[in-house]
Amino acid sequence: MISYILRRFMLLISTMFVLTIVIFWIHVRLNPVGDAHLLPSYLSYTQSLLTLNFGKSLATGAPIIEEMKLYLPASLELLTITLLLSILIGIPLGISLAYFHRSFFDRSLVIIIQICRSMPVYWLCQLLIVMFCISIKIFPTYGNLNLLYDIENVTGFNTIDAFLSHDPNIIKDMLIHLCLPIFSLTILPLVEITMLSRSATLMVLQTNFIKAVFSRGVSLCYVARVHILRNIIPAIIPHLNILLTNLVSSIILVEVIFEWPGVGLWVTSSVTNADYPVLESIIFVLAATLLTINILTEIIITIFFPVKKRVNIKL
Amino acid sequence: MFIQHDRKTDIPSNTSLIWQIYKRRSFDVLGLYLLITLLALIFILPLIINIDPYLQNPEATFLPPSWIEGGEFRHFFGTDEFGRDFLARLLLGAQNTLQSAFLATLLAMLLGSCIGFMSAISRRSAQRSFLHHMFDIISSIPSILLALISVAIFSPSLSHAMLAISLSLVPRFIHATYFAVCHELSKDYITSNMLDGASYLRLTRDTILPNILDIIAKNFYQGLSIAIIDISAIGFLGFGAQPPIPELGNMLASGMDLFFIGSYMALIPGISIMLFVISINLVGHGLHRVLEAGVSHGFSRH
Repeated sequence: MISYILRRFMLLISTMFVLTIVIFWIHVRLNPVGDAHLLPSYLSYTQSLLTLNFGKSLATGAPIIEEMKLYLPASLELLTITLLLSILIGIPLGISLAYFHRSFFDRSLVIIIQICRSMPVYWLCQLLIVMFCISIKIFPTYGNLNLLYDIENVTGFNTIDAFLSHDPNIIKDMLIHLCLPIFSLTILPLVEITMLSRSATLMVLQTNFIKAVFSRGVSLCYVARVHILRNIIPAIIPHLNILLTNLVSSIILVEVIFEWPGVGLWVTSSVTNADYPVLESIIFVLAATLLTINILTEIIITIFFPVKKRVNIKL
Repeated sequence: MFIQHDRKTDIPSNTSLIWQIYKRRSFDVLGLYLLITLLALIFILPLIINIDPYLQNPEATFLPPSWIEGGEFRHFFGTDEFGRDFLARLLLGAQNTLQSAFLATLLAMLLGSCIGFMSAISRRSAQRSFLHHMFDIISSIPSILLALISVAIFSPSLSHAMLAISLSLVPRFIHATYFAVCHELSKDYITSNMLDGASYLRLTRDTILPNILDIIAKNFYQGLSIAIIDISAIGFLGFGAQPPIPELGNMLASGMDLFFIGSYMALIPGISIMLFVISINLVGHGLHRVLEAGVSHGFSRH
């Protein structure tokens, strides 16, 4: 076990090394270094990256790390809420779909899921804006809080800060702003997790111990919670990596459409403004975080589900 | 009266077996018909309507679709802000999106499967893990961000978007092929084949490839639907195909700007993206079922 974890850490370090080389290549392509030697400039550049000293933004002149502290939490709260919602709804839905396999409920929901899967996120967002913000005016079209409200920046996370303000109007306004982006973001991961847990549950339901448990007359709720859930989790976790990366992609799109003041809006504006230091630092931060999460989930799977050490064969 | 049992006709041929397995799920058949119709539409209809999609006509801007009052039959879906025929642009745009998505996925599949094969088959552990984890860095960069990098380094164009999406799809093929080949290699018939003196090339082509084809096919159709959505997403952001060239994504973006003049300009490209993705998913699912059922004799020599 320890040697496995050490190997994973070795892998993490080596991929991080490749990441710094890739980002340095991007840096050289974007800002011509002239006659400077590559190795010393690579070393100094990597050192500044690893110490989170990203330099200054060309567009605003502010230090990038300070701007990142403003933009990153806004995206992070979208990410966490979406993931939590899709896991909390998706897994029970998937289990119930598998339990009622080939019933009307299952068939109709699978058709809806197929349609949801093929819906481009950006189109869905704009249709939602047209429907719920312009035709029926119940949701705001952009931003994460009405400009009239000024809340104290305590944690950086808008949602937590709004609750800390203890003002019901601010909390209501924050929740209303959250509705449409979260709805449009949740659909895709929700569908994926539902389908994953459905297929995993179908496999589990065929095993003999589940049949034995059912024949003893144990309630469905108990079986689902105790026997099915524990057995389908190792089948779902390996897919969370791809899910997370795709989610970040769609967060970029959703933030651009709803003008959510997060990383997505920042990175697209940095590309159009040719503000390359911002682009490089965002790539570094996002890729490093996602890589670390990937390795950590692999280690966690191995610790809690040792049988699944060699990951699921049939992908 | 008497049904003649002819032995030769009783044995189903390979093709009819494939079709029998395929048609068991009626949605997949529906998806196949839909895909054939769509492909026929976007590749044959431009030859019939014969209107230049770039031809501007300042006297006939914002014509409504032909079934609404004031529309002309010549411009079936109406015209856009420059008086260009919307149907011709839609067909060309769908062609562009579909072709680039298909090419991107094909490229990713070839590269990814080859690397996956090589890493699973190689005996040196360093080489194995290097090949397996070579593209891990790309799988941790979101595909849209990868496209933004390629736009920043090169210039915004459809082919650069295609390359970026293709690169982002490579890791999933590597991992899928790697695990599938590793699973196959542990089986007895591989060992017996190796004892027969089969070379690696022969082992790959005749023994392993037909058995993992279902996994590659599954990843191919999933990758293709992701590529269509991603390429149009980049076009939507304005970093993909540049304005005079139509593409479903940038048509959607410009249609959304004119939503209150003509909602059809925003709805039709979106619906066509959806139809493509749905039909590809259904057909891919059917093909995956067929290959999984073991009808892959057509691809091996035995």
